[in-house]
Amino acid sequence: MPSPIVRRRTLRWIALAGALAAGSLSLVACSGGSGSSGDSKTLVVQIQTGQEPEVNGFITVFKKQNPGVTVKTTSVSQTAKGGTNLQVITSSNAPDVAIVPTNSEAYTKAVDGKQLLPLTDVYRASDLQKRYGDALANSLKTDGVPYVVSFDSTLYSIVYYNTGLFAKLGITPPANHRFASLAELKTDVDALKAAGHQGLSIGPADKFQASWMIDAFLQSTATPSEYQNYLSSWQKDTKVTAKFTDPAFTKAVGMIQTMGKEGIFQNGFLGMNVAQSEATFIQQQSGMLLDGSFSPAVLQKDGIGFDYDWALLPPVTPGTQMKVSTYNGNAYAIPAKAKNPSLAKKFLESMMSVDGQATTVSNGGIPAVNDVPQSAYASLLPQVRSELDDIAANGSAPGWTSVVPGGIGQQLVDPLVQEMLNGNGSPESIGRAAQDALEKFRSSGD
Amino acid sequence: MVLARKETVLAGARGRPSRRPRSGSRIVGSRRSTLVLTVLPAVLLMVLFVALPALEGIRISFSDWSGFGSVDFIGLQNYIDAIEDSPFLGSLVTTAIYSSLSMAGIVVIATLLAAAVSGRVRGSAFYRVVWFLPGIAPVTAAGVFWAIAFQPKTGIVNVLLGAIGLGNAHAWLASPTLSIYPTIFVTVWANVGFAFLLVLGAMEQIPTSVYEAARIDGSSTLRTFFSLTLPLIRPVLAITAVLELIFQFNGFTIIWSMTQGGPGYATSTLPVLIYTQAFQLTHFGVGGAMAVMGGALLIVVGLFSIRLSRSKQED
Repeated sequence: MPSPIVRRRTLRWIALAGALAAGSLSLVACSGGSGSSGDSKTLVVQIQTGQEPEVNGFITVFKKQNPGVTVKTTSVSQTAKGGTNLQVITSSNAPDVAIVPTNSEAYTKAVDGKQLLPLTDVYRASDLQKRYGDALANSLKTDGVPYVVSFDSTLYSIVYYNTGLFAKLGITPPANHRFASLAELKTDVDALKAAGHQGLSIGPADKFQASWMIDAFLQSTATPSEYQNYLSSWQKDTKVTAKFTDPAFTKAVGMIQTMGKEGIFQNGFLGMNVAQSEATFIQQQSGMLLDGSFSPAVLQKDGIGFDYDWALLPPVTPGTQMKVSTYNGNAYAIPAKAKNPSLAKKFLESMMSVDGQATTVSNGGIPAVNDVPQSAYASLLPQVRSELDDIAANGSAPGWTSVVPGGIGQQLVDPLVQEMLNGNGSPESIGRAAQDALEKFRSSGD
Repeated sequence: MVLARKETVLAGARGRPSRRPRSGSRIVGSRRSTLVLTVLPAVLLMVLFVALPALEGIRISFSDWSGFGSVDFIGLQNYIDAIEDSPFLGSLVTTAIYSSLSMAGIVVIATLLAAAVSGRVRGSAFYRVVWFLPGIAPVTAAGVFWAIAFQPKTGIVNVLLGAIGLGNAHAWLASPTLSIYPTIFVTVWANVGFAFLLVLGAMEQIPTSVYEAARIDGSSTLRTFFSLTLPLIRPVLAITAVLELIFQFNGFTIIWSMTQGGPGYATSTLPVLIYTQAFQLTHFGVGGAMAVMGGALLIVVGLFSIRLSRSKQED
């Protein structure tokens, strides 16, 4: 049994060690983990998994323009970028440049909570209003203020079809890259099935492709003013003139239901993700694939061994000219708690320069601005070049799920569309759910 | 205390000054402080990492909070929203089916495997390792593997079924009614190893003399298993069943990596739905309310199960 004096000494040492440990923990907590606590020569940039080549291209251009600056990158997954990343960008360890998809709740909540810096000066310095074009520039603003910079464009809801298989089976390819009607698409699918193949491959298990199709069909069910209102009615200063319970919306959703009933999609499609859907197309089990402008690069990398071309989904009302749906939600923002906001703004300006945007093309992407020289596009795969040519001739349409907050659009509606394809729910019930979410969203914070 | 009193009496009897009693109370005091010092870290850790987060979770469930900024109290609104939100009630049913069938599968298979190894089947030392292997595999990787394995035509499960003439186009993961079963299968596959070790440990505690006596009495292997082995390991079986029920009720990784809760909400168990509400839709309050209700339900089920198993043991 130690003496009281020894015991007291031991207790003192324990208390001292405890105090030191607690002090160290406090210091660690206060110092943060990024290692860039206000160092004006170190910039912390988030990169979405899979977008490394594109963003590394931006970083290379930025470093050339700003020698001596160190750029540290941190990864964010596809799943986390629109959700849990909100906690990262609002924390004391916020990166200087953060990924904030415009169609996610993370964007909406971050803007509402004043957690993103206004980028009006970046827009002015890079002349983005003009270089994006008014439609895109305005869609990237909330109440007239830009908080994000879209760094590339994605074209989606595009049907890729196996040209060799079509020719072998005597299927006439869609004229002018467009299926004229659901009947034409159905005829082609039936011909494929008769030869032992599947029809149109989709990968809804990743929770975006089922609702993608609404964006395409809405072009043919809504008038231009209804369409514009669907895109912007979530903004509180816009009057709601088109409801999601209106036929313009429910007919678009109903077209997906009809396609499901008609057996347009591959066997077991609701259990497949995008990668599995692409594999089905590459293995020629299916003759068609629903995907985006990023797909040709993926298919090439995966060793696709046949020629293929592209077409747009059929209109709900035959005769309507369909346009390519565009997504500009791949966007960067500067968190309010960023340690180097001025350096971050320089990075965004560099990224949006012609040189920066040209690197997007060399990495298989499509620039978000309209002044990248045509010669830069030569490196794109022929299918993507053809899609861009089509946009130049016929225009494009920003997709509904690409623009509206996820709680009203994709994140809410996609599982409901899947449920509908499973026989639970209807276009009307989905319309009601979206309308309820819209009204709740508009009334929040009043 | 008793010791101190005894020493006081002894000291008094010997007519010595009352120094020893004070020394005795010091010893008792020292033991008390040792006890407090040894228990204190555990209590502090429990308070810090269990009680405070749980209380914070309950507070969030009564609040409007999007993951940052102020937490605004809104009363029971989140609970009303959660109950009125149709996926929640459906999700409770899905969770009940998923957790109870997984638990049953794990316990039954673990018991059979443990009985085989305990009965010294040929190669039992090898099986003891092999049956535990799925439990070591990274759960996410296993989930992705099995999601591919269940695909029609190309998935290994369908290929094998096709090879024996049972068709190769089964699209279980796409079916709203069947998609839960592949996830249960994978959950059993991944978790049976742990339960197997627990049950095997209990079986190997049974004295061999008991089995020898049964054999002398002419009891068959089956009769011995049902009349001797099972009753003797019932306490371990009960606790394994309760633990597995709790683990699977809270299970997330396998379902998320296989189906992300889909198609639609067909495999959206409570943890998946809470994750979606909190981290994808940033409705932390609603997610918190769902978690509190799910947690309360789990506590009731757990307590009921333990009580039931105790009363059976007493019988």
